[in-house]
Amino acid sequence: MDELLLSKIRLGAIAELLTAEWMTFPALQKAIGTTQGNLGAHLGKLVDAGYVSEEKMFVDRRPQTRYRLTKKGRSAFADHVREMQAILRHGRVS
Amino acid sequence: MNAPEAREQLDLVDRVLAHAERTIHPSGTLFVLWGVVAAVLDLTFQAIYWFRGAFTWWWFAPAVVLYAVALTTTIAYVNRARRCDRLSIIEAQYLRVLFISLCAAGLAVFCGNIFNGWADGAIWSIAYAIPLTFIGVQGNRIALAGGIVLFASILVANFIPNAPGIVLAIGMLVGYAGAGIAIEAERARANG
Repeated sequence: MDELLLSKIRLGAIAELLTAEWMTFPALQKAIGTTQGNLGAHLGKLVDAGYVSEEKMFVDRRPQTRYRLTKKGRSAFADHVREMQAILRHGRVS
Repeated sequence: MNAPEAREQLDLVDRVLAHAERTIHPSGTLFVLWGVVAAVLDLTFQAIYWFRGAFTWWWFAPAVVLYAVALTTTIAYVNRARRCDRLSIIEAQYLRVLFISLCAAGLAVFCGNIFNGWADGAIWSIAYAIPLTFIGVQGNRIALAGGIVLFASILVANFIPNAPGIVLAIGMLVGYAGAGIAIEAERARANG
């Protein structure tokens, strides 16, 4: 069981990034509906784990941070979903 | 973790994926502009083929002016697009297909010793048709029809040796610029 993906915010962020090439921080915040600080902390954990990559850039002289799902993140998400499905089929898992 | 918790997690993922944007939103305006530019170039080359003796470089003036308008509009569009908050995977794939098609066409046009005569016009029709068809197979019937028209125009042009430029131009106007008009009309209708 991937402890990192048990958080709804982190799982939501990964699911949002699943169909996106990249998303900016405000787009993720809007999609997930949480505070800036909370999302920043959760994304930091995903970046540290290598599940999400972070790019900082300037667009029209304004700083912009973009997030992408990495291969490791995609694979971890798929494994997590498989485990959840297995739990639903076979019952409780510690 | 128990089954209801697992169900809750899977429901969260389902909700996110259900509202995820998976369609391509191409700019119909750019299709119209670049379709007209390509058509005018095809017609210019056809005019040169028919009236070679009267040719002056001024014949390219309309194409050059339209090219400048299309390029300026494209740059403005790209600058606006850079400010967007999200790029879907399918849109990123479309942009890669478009980039590869245009690079391949540019390379082919550069290799004039291999691709000579009317090949330039046909190559650009193919380069426009591939990304259009790519959008089409993602579920956009207008784009699919436009791509088919472009491919068909190459086929027909092959059998009309005296006026291939006219046929390719019609293909560009109907298949590419026409698709752009239809896409914008559909978008306006959807937005009420």
